[in-house]
Amino acid sequence: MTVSTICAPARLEYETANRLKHEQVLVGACTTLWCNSENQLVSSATQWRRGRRLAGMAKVKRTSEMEMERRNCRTNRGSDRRTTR
Amino acid sequence: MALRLALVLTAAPAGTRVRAFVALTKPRIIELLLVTTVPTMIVAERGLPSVWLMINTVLGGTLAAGGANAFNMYIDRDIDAIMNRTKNRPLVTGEIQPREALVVAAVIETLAFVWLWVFVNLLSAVLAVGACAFYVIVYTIWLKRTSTQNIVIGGAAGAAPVLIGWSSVTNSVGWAALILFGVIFFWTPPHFWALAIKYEDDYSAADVPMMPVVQGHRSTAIQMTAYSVVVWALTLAFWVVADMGWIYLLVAMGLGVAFTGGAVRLMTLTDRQQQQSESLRYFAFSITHLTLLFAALAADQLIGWGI
Repeated sequence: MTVSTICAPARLEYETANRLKHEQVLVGACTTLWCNSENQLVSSATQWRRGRRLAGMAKVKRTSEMEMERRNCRTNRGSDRRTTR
Repeated sequence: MALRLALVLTAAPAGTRVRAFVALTKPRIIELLLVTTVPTMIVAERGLPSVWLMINTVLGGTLAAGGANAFNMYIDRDIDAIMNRTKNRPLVTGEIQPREALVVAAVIETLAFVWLWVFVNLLSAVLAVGACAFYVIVYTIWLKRTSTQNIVIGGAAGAAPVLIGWSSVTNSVGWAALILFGVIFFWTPPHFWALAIKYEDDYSAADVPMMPVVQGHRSTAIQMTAYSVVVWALTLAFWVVADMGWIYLLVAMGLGVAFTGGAVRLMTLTDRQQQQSESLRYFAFSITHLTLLFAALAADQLIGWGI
């Protein structure tokens, strides 16, 4: 058994670990950068919306909310009918 | 589904339905997008490209933009119902059902990709569908309701037609095309914020954080001025990079003065009503600005270097 064959697996393991560490650092840095940029991008709009909510200005009903209300309304109508009967 | 479609079809006259489907694609916006495409093709060709290539590019571009606009209308139908400016759109009035709009949008977009790929080239097809995806995902779904920078970043989609026009002729994207892309990209915020100042109450009611609603008129007008200066600089840079003639330079200089001047004027106004009426004038002028700039681009190439 030569020195190089003994060292090869160890070297491979070391290199793989090193690469993984670098990849993790890179992914971490990218995630932080992305989150910071996104926060920066939406911060003034978020503050504005918070201000409006605090001032009691009505929030827009989104399509999903409208549909949910409609569904609830239909269910309530059904239960009303059942109660009247 | 088929029965419901049949019922809707019989309920509304055919003419009304057709008009509603045309309205779904926002033809006025498409018109403005195409105004930039053909002159860009003329510059890329250094003359008049083949008529068929122009027709195929314009048709493919129209379909791609129409599909993107239909997706946008489908997603925004809840806030469109709240805003006075958009409350008569076909998805709000019920002339078109949401599912129909979604199907039409997907079909048109697919058709646009195939059309451009077959009759123009793959790069143009990818650029067109990429612009649609950007407009729908980045602008409409992500930024429009969450950021004051919505129209700034989203403007990239509206600037794509010049890249498509250029690539349809050269099958590549050169520096000149990128500068034209920049011109439209930086032109979009002043153009759209002028409209947002006018319809500020609409956006506020719909909870959409447009710049004038969140930061106020003065701050918006200052930014509009800055963007108009960048547009001016880029139009002049294009003269150098694309080796344009004097016709283009003179028109670009004049339009730049007027575009920046209008933004500065908007910045100096303090009365809200005056600001709103002036902003609508500025919005109309911004359309004229872009149209004339690109007309000059084409004229410069077609008439030549005579002056």
